[in-house]
Parts: sequence; structure tokens; C-alpha cells
Amino acid sequence: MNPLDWWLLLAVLLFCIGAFGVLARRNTILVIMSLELMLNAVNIALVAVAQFRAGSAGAGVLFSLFVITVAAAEVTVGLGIVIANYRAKRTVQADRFDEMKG
Amino acid sequence: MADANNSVLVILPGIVIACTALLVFMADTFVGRRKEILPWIAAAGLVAAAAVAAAQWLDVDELGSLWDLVTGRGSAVFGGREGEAGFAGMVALDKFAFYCTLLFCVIGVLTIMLSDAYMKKRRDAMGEFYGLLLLVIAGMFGMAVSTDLIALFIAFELMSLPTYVLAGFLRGDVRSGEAAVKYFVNGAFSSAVLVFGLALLYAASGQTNYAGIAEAMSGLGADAESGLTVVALVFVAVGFGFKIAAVPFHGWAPDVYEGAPTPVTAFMSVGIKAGAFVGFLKLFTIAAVGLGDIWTAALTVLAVLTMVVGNALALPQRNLKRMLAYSSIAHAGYLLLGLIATGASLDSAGSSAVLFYLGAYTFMNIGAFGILVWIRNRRAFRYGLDEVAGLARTMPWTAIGMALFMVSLTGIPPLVGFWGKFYLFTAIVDAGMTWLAIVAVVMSAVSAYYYLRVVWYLYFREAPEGAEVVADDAGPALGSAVAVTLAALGVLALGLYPSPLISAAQGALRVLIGG
Amino acid sequence: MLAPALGALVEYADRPLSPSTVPGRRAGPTIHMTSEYLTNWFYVWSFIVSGAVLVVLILLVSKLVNPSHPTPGKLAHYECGIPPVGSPWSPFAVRYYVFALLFLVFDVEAVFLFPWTLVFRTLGTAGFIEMMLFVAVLVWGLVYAWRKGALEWA
Repeated sequence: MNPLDWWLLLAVLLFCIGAFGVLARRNTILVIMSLELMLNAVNIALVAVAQFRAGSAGAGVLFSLFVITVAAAEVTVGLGIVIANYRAKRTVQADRFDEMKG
Repeated sequence: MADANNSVLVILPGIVIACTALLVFMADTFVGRRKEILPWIAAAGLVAAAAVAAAQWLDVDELGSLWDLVTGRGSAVFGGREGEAGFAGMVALDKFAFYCTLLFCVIGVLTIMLSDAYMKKRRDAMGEFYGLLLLVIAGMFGMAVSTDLIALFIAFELMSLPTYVLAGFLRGDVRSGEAAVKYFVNGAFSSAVLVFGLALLYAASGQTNYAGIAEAMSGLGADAESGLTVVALVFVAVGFGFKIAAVPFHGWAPDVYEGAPTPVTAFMSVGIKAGAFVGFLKLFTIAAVGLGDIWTAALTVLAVLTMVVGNALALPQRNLKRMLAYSSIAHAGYLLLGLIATGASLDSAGSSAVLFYLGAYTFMNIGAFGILVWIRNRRAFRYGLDEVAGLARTMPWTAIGMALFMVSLTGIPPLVGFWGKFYLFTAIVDAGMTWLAIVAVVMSAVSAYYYLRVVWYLYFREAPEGAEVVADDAGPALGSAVAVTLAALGVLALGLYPSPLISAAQGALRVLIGG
Repeated sequence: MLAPALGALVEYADRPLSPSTVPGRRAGPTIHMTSEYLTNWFYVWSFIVSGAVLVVLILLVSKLVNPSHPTPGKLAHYECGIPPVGSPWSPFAVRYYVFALLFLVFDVEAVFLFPWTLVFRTLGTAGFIEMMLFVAVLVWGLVYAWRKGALEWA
């Protein structure tokens, strides 16, 4: 296997761990963290391709910058929604939050 | 590579929309209690963007006059010239994008009018509502002009992120909050899957530009259909399937559509679907043009499942909002047929049928949701089927409108829904996949049951107790009435005389497919 | 046991680097890939393994030979802070989150400023204006948050 395949394998593994976290976790905060893991896996794949793939345009590095910023925006929106629900339900118990996911 | 001035011109309609969004946000903090001005600013921005796009369209086409366009004679002068590319080929403003921009502006203006009844009771939140709505439309515009994976991803996220907030707009309402959380988790998951697919597509081709990808793929020859490419396209199809709520990625849709505020639901079911379809239409037909076998196979599975399951699940629904949510899933299935037809044979009319159907669906579905908003504005209404029984006697005009939209959604001539389905099904037959058309027709017949049942209730059932009309405290919402009326006129007029929209949709595609 | 391994490590770290690994440094004697290179790695790995074994060994021995008679006094925190009051899972005040969210957005969006500085001269005035527009949009957002009262501590 050439180096790129190893990096892509790492990316796929991280992505699957993140995807498992999104599907299996009930706590919304942990779900958001798993989503971040998935996006970071994408970043690894993008940067690895830009570095190792012969004849590839270097746009992958640029792409990963946008993924990073969009991920930040996504977390912000997600946390905002979570907080709004927190306020609406008038509860401070973190595990009562599970009711939102049905 | 275009110079900077030209690049700005290319995305000028989008800039107008985004700047209007910024203006709405800021104006919100200055106008104090006079928030009624905000929807007007938002609508003015959309009209301005549409005017810019129309002016550019006419400029590119060298059309004699707008009249030629309206009467369908303009189609003769469509095509020929290449679209303008900007930002190092990241975006291209072609006739496809012009059509889509105009469509998105129509969707936006209708939604703004529709939300009149709804926002009157929530004045404090007007700034956020209209600002976010404009940002979503700017993202949809981005989907239509993107010719690069990076631009596509940014547009996709710009289209998605504000929608999560809009879905949870009823702060304090548990169902709206739940809708927001579900939509966010599903949407963020789907965009992660999508961007991973895009990254793998970049890994397979080494390019992010659509044209570059197509070139690299054709250079690979038989090697292009490697495992990496298949996985990449399947991931992209899955991300796309989530966004348009195709079965089996539809799990979020009914709850989100029911929980979200009704104007937002109307917008999501039409606007987000249109944005996703045009964006991926471009990606599939330009970047993955040589890989039609792969993505057509993936989308065929999605289309069959979506049509069958969407219609089957809509059958037992007695909540009208939920019924429309499931039927919206089914309509995504019909729309997929157009994409499949394009993948099976580039010469087919599949893509222009998709564009036509998106236009037709805009009027039908916003109209149908608009009727729900209107009834709720006039009396206590919880979207139950039994509650609209006998509506023909208490609110005759509303009943006529509802019947019109239901018949059009079923696809019965002479309304616009019939033409939409007709072109989609013809395209898929022309592409040599008759069995798919048969599935679609059968499922349309199934859908007649739940659509026409509503008409039956409207006209042939006795009204329940306490169904008399009560004027809303906040007064009648004229904007909503105007939106519904416009939608009804659109359904009728385009049903009787569909050629302008058809020729516009066909002309929009010439550049894309290179006809 | 540790001394020779450490010595080897220091020797490894101080070795003259080959010109191929560090461009711009003056060429010195290169390390021969086959014998010397692998020997150095052998020292490093043996250091890591012996360190890990040692930790386990010491803990095991202390567990075996120590008399264990715990009393509450012995188990108490001793010069290690105070016993916690209440559950550590108690919620933060929600208003902290608003600041965190604002910070997150403005902090991460600044990622675009770094590549911009690298190509600042080639971009010229147009690039400067574009970045100022970008920053202006961010400032616009901050002003919006300010006017909406997101920065009020109340």
C-alpha cells in the first residue's frame, strides 16, 4: 500500500468511529462531538490527498480550511439549538436531555 | 480565468441576497417596535436579486424582449453562448443558474408573504426569521452556481445551517425544539457523509473543479470505475438523499415537518429540495458525467424506495401537515426520476423535467401549506383531516384552493402537477427505463387516495361541532392570502399554458448539457 | 539499566543530521541506514519498553509488600485541594455559552487570515480590500450580537 492508502484508511476509521458515536449516543453534546470527529476525518483525507496523490491540485488543503470553519459554524448552531431547548424545558439535568431524541 | 470584477458580477444575485440578509439583521436592532418593515426589506432584496439575474439572463441570451421569453418563442435564441465563470472556475453563472435564481426568489417571496399570518404573533423574532430565510436562499443560489466541490460544500452548508434554526423557531415549544434537534443531528450527519464523499471524489480524481474531475476521470479510462469512485459517489448520493429526505434516509422528515412552523415547513419542502436537486444535478451531470452507471444505479434504488414508501406512509395519515410531509417525500422520488433519466442518457429531457417540476411543485406545495396557515389564522385548527370536513360551506374559497392544490399534487390534468409528472415520466421512458415510469404511475394512483380524500372531506362531509369561522386576534393576514392566491393562479395558469416554463427549463439546460 | 539507554538517546538526538532530512543545514556525515540507524532505534524502543515494565513492576511490588489498613483519615485528601462540594456535573450558567459560541466563530474564522498573510504581497490591493470586506462582515456580526444584548452580563 502506498502512503495515501494508509492515510485514507485512517480517515475511514475515524469517520466510522464518529458515525458510530452519532448513531449510538443519546446525549446531544456527545453527538456534536462525534460529528466533529467525522469532519476531522474528512480533513485528514483531504490533506493527505493534496500531499500524496500524484497530479492532484493542491485545493485539498484549501478545502480543509473551509471544512474547519464550517465545522465551527455547525457546532455553534448545534450548541445554540441545544441551549435553546435547555431553556425551554426548564431543566438542568443533563440526562433528561435524551427525551429530545426519540 | 476571469478577472475580479467579472467574478463579482457572476455571483451578483447572491451578493444582493446575502447583503439584504445582513441589512435585515442590523435593521432589526434599530427599528424598535416597527418590525413590519423587515419583511418588506427582505422581499425587496429578493426582487432586486431576481431583477439582476433576469437582466443578466437577457444580456447573455441576447433575447429580443421579455415577451419572447414569456410566450415561449424565446427558446429559439436560448443556448449557444457559454456561461460566465468566476473565481478561478469555482462558480459559473449560466442559464441554468438564472432559471434557478428566479425560482428561488419566487419561493422566497411566497414564503415571506406566507409567513405574514405567522409572524404577526411573533414580532420580536421577525429579524431572525427573515434574515435566516435570506441566508438559506443565498445558499440555494450558491448550489445553483457552484462548479467546484469546495463551493458546493460551502453553499450546501449555507443552505443547511440557518434551516436548523428556522425549524426550531418556536422557542419554548417542545415539538419545534425537538424538530430542530432532530433536523440538526440528521442534517449535520448527512453533510459529514456528503463531504466525505466529496473528499473521496477528490482522492479519486485529484481535482475539485467539476470540469477537472470529468477530465481526470475520462483520462483514467476503465480505471475510473474503481472501488474508490463507487464509494465516493455512493457517499455523495447518501448525503444528497438525506437532504431531500429520500427513503431510507427520510426518518427525520415527518417529525421535522410536523414540528417546524408551517411556513418554514412549506419552505423546507420546496426550497431546500430545489436547492439540493439543482446543486447535485450539476455535480452529477458535469463532474460525474462519465460515471453515469454508478450514480444512476444508486439513485434508482433511492427513487423506487422513496416513491413506494413515501406514498405508502402518507396513506394512513389523518394529520394534514404530516400527510403533506410524507407526500413531499414521495415527490422527491418522482424528481429523482429526472436525474436518473439524465444519467441513463444525457440527451433525455430528464434534467429540464426536473427544473420544470421544481417550478410546478413550488406553486402546488407552498399553496397547500399556505391553505393550512390560512385556516389556522381564521379559526382553531390542529391540522386534523376531520377538522376540514365541510369546509366548502364555511370557507368556500379556501376549500376551492385546497381542492385545486390537492388535485394538482395528484397530477390530474389540466393543472400544472400533471405536466410536471408528464415530463418526468416521459423522460424516464425515453431513457429506456419504462419499468420505473410504471412504478411512478402506479404510486401516483395510490397518492390519489390520500389527496382526493381531502377533497372528499371538504365537500361531502358534515362540518364538526365548533368549526365556525373566528377571526384571528391579530387580524386577517393579507400576505398569506395573497401568497395562496398567487400559488393558485400559478397552478392554474401554468397548467393551462405550461410552455413558457417548459421552454425556460429547457433553455436553462442547454448550457449544462452542451446541447 | 537506564544510563546506557539514556546515553544512547542523547547520542541519537545529537547525531549529525543528513542533509536530505533538514534542508538548509550544512552537510555532515550521514547515518548509514542499515546498521547504525537501526541500532539507534533499538535503544529508543528498549528505553520505552523498560520504562513501561519498570512502572508496572514498582506498582506491583509496592502492592505486594505494603501493609494496607485504610482509615478515613488516611484516605482523606492531604494537601491536594479541598473535598468537592456537590456533583461536578452541575450545569454552567447558560450565559457562558453565548460567549463561548461567539468566541468559537470569531476565533475559527480567523483561520483564513493566516494563508492570506502568506500571499498578501502577490494579491495586492484587491486582496487587501477583499479581506477587509471579510473582516467587516465578521465585525457586522459582532455589532449585531452586541446590539442584541448578547454581550450583556445579565
